[in-house]
Amino acid sequence: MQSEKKQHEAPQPFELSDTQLEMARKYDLTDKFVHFLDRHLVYPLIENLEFTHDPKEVEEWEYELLKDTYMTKFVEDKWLGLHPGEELPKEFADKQQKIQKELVSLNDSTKKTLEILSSQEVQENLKQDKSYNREYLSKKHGIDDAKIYELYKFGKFQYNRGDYVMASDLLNNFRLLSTNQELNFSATWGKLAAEIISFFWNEAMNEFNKLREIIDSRNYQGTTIDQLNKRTWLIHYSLFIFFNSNFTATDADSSEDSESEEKQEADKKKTLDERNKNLSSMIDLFLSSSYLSTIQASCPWILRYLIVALLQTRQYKRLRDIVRAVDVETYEYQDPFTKLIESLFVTFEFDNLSDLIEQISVLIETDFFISNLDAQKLVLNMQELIFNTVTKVYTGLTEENLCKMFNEDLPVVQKFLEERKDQVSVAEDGSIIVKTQTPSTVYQQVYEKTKAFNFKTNQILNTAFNKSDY
Amino acid sequence: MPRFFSATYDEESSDDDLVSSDEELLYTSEEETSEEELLEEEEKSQEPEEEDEESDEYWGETSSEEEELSSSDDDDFGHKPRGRSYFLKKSAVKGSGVESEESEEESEEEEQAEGKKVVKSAKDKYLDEIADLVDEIENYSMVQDWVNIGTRFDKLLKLVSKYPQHHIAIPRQYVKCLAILTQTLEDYEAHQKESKRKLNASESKSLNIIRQRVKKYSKECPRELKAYHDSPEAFLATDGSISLSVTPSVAASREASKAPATAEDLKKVFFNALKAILETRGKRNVDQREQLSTLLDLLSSAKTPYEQISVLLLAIAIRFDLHAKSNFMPSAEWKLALADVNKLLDIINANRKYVVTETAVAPDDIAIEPKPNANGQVEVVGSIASFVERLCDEITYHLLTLDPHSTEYIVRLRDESSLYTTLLRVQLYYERFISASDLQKPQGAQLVRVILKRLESVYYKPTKLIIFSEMNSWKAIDASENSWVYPRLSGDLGPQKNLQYTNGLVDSLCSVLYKQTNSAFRKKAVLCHIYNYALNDQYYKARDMLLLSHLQSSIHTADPQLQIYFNRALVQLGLSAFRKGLMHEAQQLLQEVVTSSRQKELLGQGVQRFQVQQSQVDKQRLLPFHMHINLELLECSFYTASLLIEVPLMAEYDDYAKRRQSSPKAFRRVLEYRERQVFDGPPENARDHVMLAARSLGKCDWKTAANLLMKIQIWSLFNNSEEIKHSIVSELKIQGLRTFIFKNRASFTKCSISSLSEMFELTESKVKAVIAKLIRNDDVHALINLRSNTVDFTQGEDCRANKLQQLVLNLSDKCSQIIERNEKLSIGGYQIQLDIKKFGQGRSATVQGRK
Repeated sequence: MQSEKKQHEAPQPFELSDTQLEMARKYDLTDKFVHFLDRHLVYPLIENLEFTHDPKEVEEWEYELLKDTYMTKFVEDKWLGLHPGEELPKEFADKQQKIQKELVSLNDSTKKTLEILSSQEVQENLKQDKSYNREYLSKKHGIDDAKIYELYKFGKFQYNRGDYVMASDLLNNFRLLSTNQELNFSATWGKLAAEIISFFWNEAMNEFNKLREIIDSRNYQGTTIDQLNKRTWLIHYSLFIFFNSNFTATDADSSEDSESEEKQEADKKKTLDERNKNLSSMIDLFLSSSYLSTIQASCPWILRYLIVALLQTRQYKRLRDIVRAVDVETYEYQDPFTKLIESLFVTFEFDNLSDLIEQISVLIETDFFISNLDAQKLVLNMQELIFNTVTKVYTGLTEENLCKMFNEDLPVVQKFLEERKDQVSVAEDGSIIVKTQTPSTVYQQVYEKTKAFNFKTNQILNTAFNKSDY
Repeated sequence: MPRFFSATYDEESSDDDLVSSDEELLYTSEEETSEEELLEEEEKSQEPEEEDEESDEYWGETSSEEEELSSSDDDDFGHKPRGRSYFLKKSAVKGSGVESEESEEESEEEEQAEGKKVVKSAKDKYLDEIADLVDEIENYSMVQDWVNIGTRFDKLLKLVSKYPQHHIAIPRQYVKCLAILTQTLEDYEAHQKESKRKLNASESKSLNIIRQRVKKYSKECPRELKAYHDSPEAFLATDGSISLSVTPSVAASREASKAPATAEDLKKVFFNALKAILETRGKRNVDQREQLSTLLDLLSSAKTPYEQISVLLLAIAIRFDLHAKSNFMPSAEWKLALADVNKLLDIINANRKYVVTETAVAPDDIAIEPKPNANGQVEVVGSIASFVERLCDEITYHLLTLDPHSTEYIVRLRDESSLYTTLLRVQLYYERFISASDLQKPQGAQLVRVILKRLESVYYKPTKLIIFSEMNSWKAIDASENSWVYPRLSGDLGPQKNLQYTNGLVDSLCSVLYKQTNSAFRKKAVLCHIYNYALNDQYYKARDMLLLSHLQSSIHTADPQLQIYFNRALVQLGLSAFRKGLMHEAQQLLQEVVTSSRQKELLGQGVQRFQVQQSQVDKQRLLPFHMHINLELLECSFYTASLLIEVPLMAEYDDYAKRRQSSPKAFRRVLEYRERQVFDGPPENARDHVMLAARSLGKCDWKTAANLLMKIQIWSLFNNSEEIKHSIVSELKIQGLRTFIFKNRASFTKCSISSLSEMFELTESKVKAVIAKLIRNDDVHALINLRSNTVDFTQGEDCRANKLQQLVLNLSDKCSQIIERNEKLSIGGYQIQLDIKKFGQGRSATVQGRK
């Protein structure tokens, strides 16, 4: 499982200047995320900090983070890495023994249950009805509530040990049998985390939707504040799903088999589409009123990911909502992304754009979630957004102006303009002319507005009469 | 103010609480007495000859109507003027734990006057009533008539719940009744199987109720029950015997007290004198001053702490009594009362064994010191919380009568600091035996009331002042004492830490109040909290708090005092927004209060002149001058904010007056009024300045406008007035620029940005930003030309529609709206209801026709 994590990182080498490092540290969100994620999920975030922080320091954090888990082997490695040339303290061995013992005992106690559950006969007899299942199992096979609860315990233990696939399996079994709402709820959380770590995004998505259903349901059991907290957790968990789902476990396999280029290309395109779909569903979710107010109330930094998702998917019709949210939260949270939105759509001060873009490009590389996206495309979309906004207000822009705004070299800008040849032309004096639609005449407008009237009216009449024919 | 709480407390508690809560009983009994007094006084003055009959009748009815009376009292709280004697009586009762037995005296008088008529005291009547009921129950229980027993028992319980008012022990008859019923129930159960008589539904129902109740109430008085079982006759004989059966005259007692004897005698004499005073409290024709001096004599002769406490409790109460009828308590008297309270605290602090609390059990005889409870503490009935509440109220009343600009006012105001120290001491005292987990219990309510008073004397003060009074108060308190609500202030910490300290103080005081089940505490606390945050320029925090409290939706139904709190918090929030430069927010927040014609009343800072009759309740709502919010500053802030918002709007839309229906008309009205003036004099007050500034800003002359606004003196009332002035000016420049663009957009084709920047003293990039916003929002049809550094207006005649064309466009818009609605309707399943037959014919006809 550890190798899996490493693999997931796929570090790209890039150099950062000191100021950039400082910037990246300043806008790093890991310490905010720590409060809303499970230990195991925080690990990749901290690992990601290696780019911006002293590796030694990061290793120490990793050790601190995981020392209470049962992943003894891993923790030992970390400890040895931190204290080179020293003997392992005895506690480690003790702990390992203890864990081993617990593992054996739990394994024994659940083994029979699992065997029974997986047997042909039982599989056939199980039905949708939980209470029936329980009765059936307890009568025929002696599996009572305590046995079922052991499944939960074992699942939790395995998760803690880092055996996520097993954990997810156990928790799933538990959920199928148990009627305890509360434990089911926390089992679902556990399963979600396990699926995320093992990159089973589809399953993770299912779990996520299940949790959402429970938390958003009208008759939610807990208090309002509890609901708010749970929602905040869910938002943070979901970022893994929404931002990472391009990188599936199967994906990793397929890259190993040297298949034809074309197919890979097609795969890539598919996953891209898939991800865009994911991101746009994320935008829809986060902008729904209850989630937006959760973000505003307890975790305004999520706005960054909303903006990124918006840029990635180019769903500019939701821009207005995001601009409003950013504007409202300015007093509480600011980072280069929100500043970009703010200066483009709230204050209209375009002079500092180049700084912001520079900062953003650093963040795109260093932020754990954003670095999973296609950085180039993101930058390009951003430039397009800026271009569209600016040309609405300015005329007589020169290529140099654009260079400054985009924080790019001239050829890049020229290429950018070249791609938009049909809308943009460069005048003789070097200014860029955007072809705008001249507003139509009044007659045209009236015609446009009224031309569908007749048809629509007839349609309404038809439906109305047809219905009354019944 | 305590009265306010008692009333809401009653309102909120459900009916079943009524029986159980001792505190409530104190309150209700209290209200009755005051009511009675008023009533009697009225009658006396109006129809003296009927007095006897009337009052007699009144007394006859009380017992049956008591329930009703008290509840109706609660309901019309706030409408009926009731006089301040209310407070006095409450504290008096709490202080002494003895109900003034006015009726007794009355009946004596009557007896003398009429001779024959036998009049019983209220207590006797009460006991008789109980005895009658018990007799009936006994009779019914012989035949096991459960329904009748049930109704009688109900009545009995209601009556019995009032026994503390008459200051007697649990009525013995009642105990007897409980015993009888227990016996009957046992008998019934034993014979049930044999008798086989089926009970009908109503019978079995009341049987069950009785069974439960008997069980419940038997648990409450196991000792009495045991005594009864031991010897019923002896037990019953002492029914109703109360501590005040002997009535020595005051003079006699004084004489007695002067004649010293043995220690035991001395003690007896001492308490006899005390009893005598207790007895006559609240009666007419009693010289309270004389009583007071007697008490002071007694105090000097008091030996044990218990004696001292008892005397002081009574003395303080009588001090308040003295001035119940006057408008305020003279400063000297007030100080004496304060000193007495402090002395009381000293005694209690020195003798930690003694605890004075409202929840203590009223003693049968005050001469006997109560037994220590399980914790080894001797509980004495009395309420220090009420005393300090009263002290707070009295100083407020006095301040209200003084001219706020006189030195007298300031001298009086100084007493607040010593009062604050006492408040803190009382809080610490209560904290000693009330822990955080007890706050919801009746005992904890005392602490909560003190904390509310502390909050109220703190929330409106700036940080510096709070720190100052905190330091003084903590200095006066023994270093070993500390509070679990909020720890002691160690010393001046510097401005940043000081702010943290006061924030923490207000936070923790409020968090205690938030835990209260009584929503009145919570609401008051949150409003004070908001006010304090707004005052300290923590606008966003205060705003979020206001929004989360959801008070806006319900405040119009709250009682006037709470509404005043709300208005004050709202207005302070508005000022805070103004200081932060958030003009839109400031305008919105201030609008309602500033544009009202009853500003003063809304903020509790005075009453309207035409309101001739001023009731007591109205007066109670007023706040003393040092808590006021400066109305002129409010007005000035509001109009300045409006100026910055409205002037560009006026320039933007020609039909502004018609268009902006929702916008505050107040500003426009004032502006128009000034325009109409034939003779336009130089500006005098703040409003004149703002209006003149608006006019010059309308002409895009921002410099004159800025000069005029800067001339307003009142800005200096803000802490950081220079900063605020500065931000106003920079905002003026921007709004001036916008006004300029709006005004001239029709006549310009090009406008140089550099000249604009010169004209409004803004940087070019700022000018561009402002114009870019206008362009982006489609307010102006223009583009910024970077090459020539100008604003190019696109004037196209063709894109501007003439009147007729506009109308046509509007019409087509409306039509499409109608169609959309129709579509929605048809989707929603609405159908055209037609006579199908007829319709079918018609349709086929048209089809045919078409063919």
